[in-house]
Amino acid sequence: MKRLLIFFLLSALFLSSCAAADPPAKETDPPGSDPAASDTLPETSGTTKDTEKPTETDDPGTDETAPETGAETEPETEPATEPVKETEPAPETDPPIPDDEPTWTVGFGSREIAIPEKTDEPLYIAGYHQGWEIAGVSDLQRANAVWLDGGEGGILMIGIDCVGLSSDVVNEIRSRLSDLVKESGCVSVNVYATHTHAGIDTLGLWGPTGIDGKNKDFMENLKAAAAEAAKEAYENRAAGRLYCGSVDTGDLQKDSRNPKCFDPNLYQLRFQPKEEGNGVRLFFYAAHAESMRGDNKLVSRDYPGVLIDTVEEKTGDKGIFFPGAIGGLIMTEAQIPEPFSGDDAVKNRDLTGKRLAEYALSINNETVVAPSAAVSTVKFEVPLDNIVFQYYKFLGILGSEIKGGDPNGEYYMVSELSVVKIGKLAIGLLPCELTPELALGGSALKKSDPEPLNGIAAEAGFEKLLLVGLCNDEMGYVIPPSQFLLNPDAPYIDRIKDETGEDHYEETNSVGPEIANAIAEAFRKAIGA
Amino acid sequence: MKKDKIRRLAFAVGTALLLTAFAVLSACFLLRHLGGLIRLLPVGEDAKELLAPIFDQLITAKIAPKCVIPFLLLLLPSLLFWFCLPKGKTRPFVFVLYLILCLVFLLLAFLFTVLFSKVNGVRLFDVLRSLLRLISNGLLDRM
Repeated sequence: MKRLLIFFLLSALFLSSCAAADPPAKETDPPGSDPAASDTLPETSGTTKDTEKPTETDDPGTDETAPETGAETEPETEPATEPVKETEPAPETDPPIPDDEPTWTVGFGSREIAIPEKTDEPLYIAGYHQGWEIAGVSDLQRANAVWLDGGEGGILMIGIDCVGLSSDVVNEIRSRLSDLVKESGCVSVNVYATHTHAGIDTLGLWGPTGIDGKNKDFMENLKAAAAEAAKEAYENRAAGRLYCGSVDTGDLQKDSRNPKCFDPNLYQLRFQPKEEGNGVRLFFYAAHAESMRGDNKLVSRDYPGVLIDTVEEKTGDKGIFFPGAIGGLIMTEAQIPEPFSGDDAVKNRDLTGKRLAEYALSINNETVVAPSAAVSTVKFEVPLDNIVFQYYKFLGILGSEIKGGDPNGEYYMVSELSVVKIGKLAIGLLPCELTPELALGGSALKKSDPEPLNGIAAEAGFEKLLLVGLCNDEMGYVIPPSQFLLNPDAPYIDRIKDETGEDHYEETNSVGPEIANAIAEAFRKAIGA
Repeated sequence: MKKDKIRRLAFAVGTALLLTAFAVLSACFLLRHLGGLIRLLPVGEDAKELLAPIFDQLITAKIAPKCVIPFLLLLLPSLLFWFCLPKGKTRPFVFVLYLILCLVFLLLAFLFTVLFSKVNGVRLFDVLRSLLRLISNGLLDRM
């Protein structure tokens, strides 16, 4: 009897533990591969918007936009996956691409930029202090290139891990690719900087005063690496599907200047090849690549390098990073207490990059982007008010194009702005560091300020605008005219604080007060509004 | 009479060529050493550091040969004057005066060329105008 009771007791315990176990997982849509979601991206004005559940259809590739993501509120939909943990590999969940589906042609190339071993000129670290030579290398700067062809001709995007590139260097790289352009039918070659503040000086502004900080041998290596990466991207091209997604990165960024306004989203264009092979991910994020901060003397790609490496390690996908509207001044929050000492700079960079990689891998609202990509380019000129820029141009250090100097003494900086049009998605390629409110709009802008770029894009019929700064030139910061303030005694040399105590540093590295209007006008022409 | 005119013409042309060569060499010398002379100016070290590279750049930009053109334009009228001058005791006196005028023209041509020629698209006059205003205010601690 006793044995029977024990038996029943144990059986009851066993059965009750079975009943308490989780039910088998339901089959859900694979994360990040929801074809033809019909929702559109929100206006990125920094205001909160609710996330809508993606809808399913059977027709892939008809919608080019990703569903909304809330800027500051929790999404109402249940996330498809949890953020990928370090120990878990990313699940391979992309649906196969049918033979009759129109496809993109995308290729990726990458080269390290070698630091010359024997060189007559010093190697200065760019971003913070003049005359600081590099003390070592944490990770080498790279040239990454992506070939994008939606059927209207290939568009090359070449990203250089450096602080910035003047138009003369961009044009030299383009001239090295002239044969490739002829052979391939490439319609546009664009070269931009990731703006790492841990790279060797490529603008010439971080040598001793009045001395060109660029190293000729390093610049030659840079141009060669850019051209080789571009050629590799063309040779490696493959057919496949492109997805667009985004995720709110929460408190990862900060705005060091009022008004506090920035886009908190990480955007991703992800390429899935039709045949077996590695994908390609294009990351768009608005934060200065200066997580290693100002005392660092080690060469590094900063957090974009860690982001790309981490995602590649987890998924096998190659990555390329595009800086967004980072003026005014948007940077990443420190992940460890400041000030840094010892190897804190490297630690902070790694933590920042890994955190951003987690966000990237958690994107669960992707929609398919129909193959179509056209480029419009507009040349424009801006009055060059900055006497420091004039001085560096006279000395042959600043490589941007300048015209004027007639009897009235007015000079103009000449540059270019492009817009890549991918269905209802537009990508603005800006030769500057734009203050985010000039793109997002909002109460920060006054009557004297130009219409925000998001509004201009909407007028032209686009549902989403992504921005790439420091592209094809570097004109410095673009500040709204209503906020532009110079030190009257030493304009563009000494900064000034306004009556609220706000430091107007960015004006000292700006072409002048009229650049914001010039950029908006050029953008309007390029996007066709 | 004809021989005298030919002799005077040859003398005038020869003098002009010598003075042109002198102009170019003087301009090169001045530019090369002006950067050093800057250091003697009664301005702060930061100001000197800013001004010195400007004159290095003028040498690099090969400004000196450009001084020749305005110099020659100023020289031509004086050549005609010399050529038309009749024989007489005043001629040596006039020749000395002529040399002095040439040197003045040389200096003016040099200054004009250096200040108003564009180097990398920017005129030195515009750069100096901005910098000197700041130097006079004593506001060039950093740049």
